[in-house]
Amino acid sequence: MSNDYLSMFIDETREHLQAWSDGLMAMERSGDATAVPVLFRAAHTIKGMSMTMGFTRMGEITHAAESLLDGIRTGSLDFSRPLVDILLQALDVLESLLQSVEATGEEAVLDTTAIQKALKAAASASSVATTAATASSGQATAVLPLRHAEGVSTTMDTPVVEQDAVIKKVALQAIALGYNVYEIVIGFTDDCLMPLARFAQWLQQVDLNLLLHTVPDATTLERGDYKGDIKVVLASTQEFDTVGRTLSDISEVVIRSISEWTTESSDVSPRRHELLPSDRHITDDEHVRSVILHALAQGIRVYEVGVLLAPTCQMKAARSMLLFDAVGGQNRLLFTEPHIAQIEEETMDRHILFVMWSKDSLEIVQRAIESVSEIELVELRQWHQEGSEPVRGNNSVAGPTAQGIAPAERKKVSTIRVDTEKLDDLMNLVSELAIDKTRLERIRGEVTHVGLNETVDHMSRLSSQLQELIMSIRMVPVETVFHRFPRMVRDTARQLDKDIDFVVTGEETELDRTVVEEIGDPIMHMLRNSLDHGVETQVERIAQGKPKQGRIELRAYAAGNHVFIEVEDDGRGINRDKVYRRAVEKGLIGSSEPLTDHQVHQLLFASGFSTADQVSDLSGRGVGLDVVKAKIEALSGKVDIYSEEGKGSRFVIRLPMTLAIMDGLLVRIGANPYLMPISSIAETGRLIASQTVHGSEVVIWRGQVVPLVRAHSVFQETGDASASFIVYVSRGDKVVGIVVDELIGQYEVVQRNLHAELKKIPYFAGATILGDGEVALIIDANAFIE
Amino acid sequence: MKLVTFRVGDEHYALPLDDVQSIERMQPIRPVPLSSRHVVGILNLRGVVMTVCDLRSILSTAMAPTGDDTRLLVAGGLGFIVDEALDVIEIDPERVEPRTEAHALITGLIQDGDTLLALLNRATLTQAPQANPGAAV
Repeated sequence: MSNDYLSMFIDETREHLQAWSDGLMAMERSGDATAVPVLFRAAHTIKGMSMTMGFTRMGEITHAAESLLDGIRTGSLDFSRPLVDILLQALDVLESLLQSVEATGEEAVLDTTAIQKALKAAASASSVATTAATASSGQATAVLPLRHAEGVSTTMDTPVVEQDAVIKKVALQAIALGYNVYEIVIGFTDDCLMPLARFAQWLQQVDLNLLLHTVPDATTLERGDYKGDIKVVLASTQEFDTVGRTLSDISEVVIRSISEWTTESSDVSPRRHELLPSDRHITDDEHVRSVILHALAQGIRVYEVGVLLAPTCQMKAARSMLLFDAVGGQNRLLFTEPHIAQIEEETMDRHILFVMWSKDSLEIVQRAIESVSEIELVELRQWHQEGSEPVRGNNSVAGPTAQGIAPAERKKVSTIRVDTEKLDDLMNLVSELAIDKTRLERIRGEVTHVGLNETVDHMSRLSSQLQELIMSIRMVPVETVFHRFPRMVRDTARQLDKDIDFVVTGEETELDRTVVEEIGDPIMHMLRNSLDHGVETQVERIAQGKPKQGRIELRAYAAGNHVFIEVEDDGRGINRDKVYRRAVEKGLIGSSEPLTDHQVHQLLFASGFSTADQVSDLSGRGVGLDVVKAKIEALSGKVDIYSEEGKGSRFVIRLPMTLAIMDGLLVRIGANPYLMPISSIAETGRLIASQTVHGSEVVIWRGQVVPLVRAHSVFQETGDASASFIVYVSRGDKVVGIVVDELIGQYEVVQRNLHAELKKIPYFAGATILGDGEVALIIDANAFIE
Repeated sequence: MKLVTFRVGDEHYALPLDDVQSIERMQPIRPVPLSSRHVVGILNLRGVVMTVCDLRSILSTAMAPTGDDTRLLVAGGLGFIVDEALDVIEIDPERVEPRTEAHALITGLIQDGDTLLALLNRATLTQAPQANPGAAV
């Protein structure tokens, strides 16, 4: 088998396996089977390729997976969590086989009969009913800690569900534990062909341990031919609005009623609190209802809109106003949630619900809203009049779709494999060429020769273009390292029995390839940290009033000359006292040293530090945050941690965007030239006179009091200290004036890394070779600001 | 084994030829503020920014003024200032008398005619800048 074909097989199979993984993650999250065709195609293609290459094990596994996926695709099989697990297992086996092929050119001699059997068994499992049965069979013995409950008498207004004593007891316990207990009756639209499939789909999103009762019972549902209404009693931490919304988002399902079971404080009997879906307003305000009615009576349309602001939206108030403008202006609004004042002050979350009137049709309103960027339209209903009451219609926005997994739409880019060593050599040559170019540019000023100017100009342009091209070849989106995290987080979360919402943004942000290769481990470590120590268990979270589901966000973005990668969780944050004590124990600090919270957090990065109660398998064994920090610093990066006890923690990694070309201001400090990155400079000015305030030298700049730093003394320079100029550097709101002796000029230079030993000095970000061959250190302005 | 021999102060030292990348003439060196004691600074070596350390300081020898004979010994990605580069010699490994105490930089002694050569350990040598925390934060 020729090497070329083998390489192609490996690359393509890996791509398809990635699509497979992404697709499964997306499907699991959305709970529906929309991505199955993609998975099917992936499996099918891998099967074909493997068979052609003679890799029978891979072929057999994908063949079995294909049948399974086909079953889901045609509806004869129902999509469920156990299926996702099996498909993921198959994925893992395929990945190991692929790795062995890559290493040795042959498939490893693995026994794959187990996974094949599992796939076949899952594929031939009889349909829906099985899933439904598994679901409802979990409810009769609800897994809630049993506490001895008093015998209770029930007073029901109109008993619709027969009150089984057991259910009542369990419901009471649930309520005592802080759950809400709902009784829901759902029906199905007439054209619904597979009501039990829809029921099962809803059950995906319900914790089956909290399902207390169903009518009809499990046996009837198991038969698979039941088509009527289903009554369900379940416990939930969600508000009835959310529960109802989840249900109404499933197509072909109709909510007949939702009731909440509550207890009277003095009397332990459960009392029904009737809440019919058609009464679910976002407001109970009689006034709003009457205005709506009034508008409807005049033939004016009324819409109820629900939108979500994008997580990356920075200016929520502005974006919200744009949204209101898009639908015709704020005078169209009959009601908003949150209140308009809150929106203007940006004391809001990402949700906006509002009721508006309009003369336009639904389609036009929908299009207007969808044209606003950074906004996702989640709900759009039209109100209409029924008798003398205003009534809401159905949500016209399609249900949540699967997250973007589209290998089919992936741009077909023609690629070749290149030895990275050759790339590095190429880059070095191009860098040297750039230096000579600068030299030539200087020389031509001194020599008169016909044609020299033009040639040098042309050469300069070519050289610059070459540099840019090489830099861009080295730049790679962080997605290449991020893509393995969703799976890892999911698996780890399951292992720890934690419910985690893992959000990744900014994967398209680019970094130099060497940095991308190395940054994976530190990020993995931080994620494991959040999973293991950060996010609390579900029970703990509920006890603290937090949502059961923890949130971990991984985001990448570029700012100035740097790329930032953040890992943030809404977990328990850093326990300041614990860390402080541990540090004292380890002799890292004196026992009476006063430290700010932030300083205590930094201790986590100290060598040999670990506060893990048990050294868990996931994190804390051997690899500490100090190693992570060292690794990041070796990449010329910096890492920091911000945390609030009880609220969560956030790691921030700052990395240089590229290894090269930066715009800098060359200055002289003492006897030596130094380069300052233009990106950090706000302004330069002359130093005329300064004032001293509380022992520090300051000067007034643009109405602000700015502290001065005399670089000459910080660097312990010798030589002329004329101290004539100030370079104002800023980061965020902070501004510092660095006093230098001379401003030489602005230059575009190639940034070089410093030796590890010199990297430790916070004032320098690197070095560069100037046009005349001299070296100059590149100053990291942040060191002066901190 | 082949050794590169050189002089630092009044003593003669050696490094295995394989560990030495090149021997260069002295160039002006750009000082790096707040660097540790043994680090002299950085310079441009054929397009590469190289960090330079002073072997005389590392070996606690008196610092002689830079002369015509002063050279830069490049090993392990670092440049080391020496007072004079001598010959490349070939000796029988058996003749190396191992040294394991005190100065971890010296791994052995060789009698070459009437001169005593101290064989340096390149690995420890390149750690030398870190050995002294100095002013580096």
